[in-house]
Amino acid sequence: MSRVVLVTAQWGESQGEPAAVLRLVAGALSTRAEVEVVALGTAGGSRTTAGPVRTRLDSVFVVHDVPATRADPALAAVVRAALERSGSGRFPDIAGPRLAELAGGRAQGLPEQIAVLGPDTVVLAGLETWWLPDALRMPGGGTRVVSLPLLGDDAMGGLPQLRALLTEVDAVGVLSRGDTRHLPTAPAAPGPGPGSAPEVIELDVAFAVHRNAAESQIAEMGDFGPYVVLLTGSPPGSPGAVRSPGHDYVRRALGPIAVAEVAAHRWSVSSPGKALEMPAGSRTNLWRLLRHAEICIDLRPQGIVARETLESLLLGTPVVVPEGTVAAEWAERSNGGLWYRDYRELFDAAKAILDHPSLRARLGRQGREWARMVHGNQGRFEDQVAQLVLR
Amino acid sequence: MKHLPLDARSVVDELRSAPRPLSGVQPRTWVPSQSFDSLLEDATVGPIVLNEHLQWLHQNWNLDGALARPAGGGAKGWVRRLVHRAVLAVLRPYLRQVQDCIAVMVRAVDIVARRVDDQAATQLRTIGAVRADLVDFAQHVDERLDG
Repeated sequence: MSRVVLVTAQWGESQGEPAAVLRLVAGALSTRAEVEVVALGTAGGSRTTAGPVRTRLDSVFVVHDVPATRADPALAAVVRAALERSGSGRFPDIAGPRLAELAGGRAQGLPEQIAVLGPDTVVLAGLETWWLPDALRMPGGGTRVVSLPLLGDDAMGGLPQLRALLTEVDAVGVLSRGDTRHLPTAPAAPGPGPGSAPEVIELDVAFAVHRNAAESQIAEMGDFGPYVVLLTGSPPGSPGAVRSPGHDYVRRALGPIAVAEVAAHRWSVSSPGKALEMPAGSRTNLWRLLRHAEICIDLRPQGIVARETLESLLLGTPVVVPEGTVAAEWAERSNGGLWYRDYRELFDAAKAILDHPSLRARLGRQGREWARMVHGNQGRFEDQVAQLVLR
Repeated sequence: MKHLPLDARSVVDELRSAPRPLSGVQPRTWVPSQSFDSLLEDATVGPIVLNEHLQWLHQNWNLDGALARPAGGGAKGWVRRLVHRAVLAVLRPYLRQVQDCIAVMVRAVDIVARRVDDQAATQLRTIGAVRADLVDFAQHVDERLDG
């Protein structure tokens, strides 16, 4: 069975989209390979919370916590060479495990950790590891290095270092056209190696949505009548009980309909003469909220997979999303929603859907069909991940 | 899917081109146009562009992955790469031609599918217009007979 090491700074307590996608990738690989995770610390050399990484997945995957800034490629080369020779009879048999134990225990940096683990494939996720591919390959060229850039339409994609990384790795997994736009367009030579074109594989990430669980409406929402869901992003540490300005703009523009704002830590529901604040609900409750909404309006900046947009589409709720984002890409490809450039266009689009039930029904149906066909197939996603990582 | 596809981009374009009220703060009023009429709701023919076989063709037409250089170290990997190189040295022109043929065929099927869907939509609209005319005509005859 192949050994795969997934290198990421998005693990542990992180709840963002990158972490969700990487957990899906690790899960997809888990039946076909031995998967270990190297969780990189923050730029300061330690994680935001002290102590080892703790998640429910720790019982499934071995997680190694490594500081991101203490990598030493020279030391890594020495460790690699020593480990290789220890298996060739030049060292006593006891030296190999002892050496691996020592090097692993010290965990000086990522290259040493990878050298100790000796994987067949290294998956570099996100932007934190753009300078490392060459230092991670084992001598002999047997290690496959794969990148999951997780960019969306992020401006970081324009960095020359990242473009160089994408030519150094053997393969790149892209989640959206935003990722694809940052790939090198004029490869110098095919095949692995410096300056060559990496293999590009599209991943249709599959998020599971429990449709039966979503069928029952949240009891409190019954008092508000028809409502729209508003997805907003609130930065960590922001006041929990303050509604976003977008909430009031949207409610004022859309008339008597209620607005349910879903932020990171709380939900705010309001209609003329009525308001309700509650802590953020579970994923199942979010599906219930999305399923019974008239539309789902996204006010958030760029994400890498626009998870809530996909979940809305899977549940048959039309979406209204910002133009130029991954969410807008899903809306256009599915014909399951509309997109906007500014608040006025947002109100136009939302009003058009609310005023025309048949438009809403058709967008919802088309979005659901497309999302189920493209992003509802867990087996195909697992095959794509295996093709990217294990070949 | 029991209805013809509604193009979301055309709805967005129509919304953007609709006149905005003079006050400038009220949302634009969107009126369903030719790209969206209730008649299409009744269509029982599924759109060919969403046919699952066509979707499969779109997802699998590219053979580059199957022809990629084999990975793996050791003697086995070296032999595989050697065989791969030898086979491709002979067959590469043929395989490229096959790949191009498949790509062109998928595009052609796509164009035909879209054309058929357009024709189906046009036919439905025409039938709807004729039906509306006949209903008008019947009402007109009724009124004249009553009168």
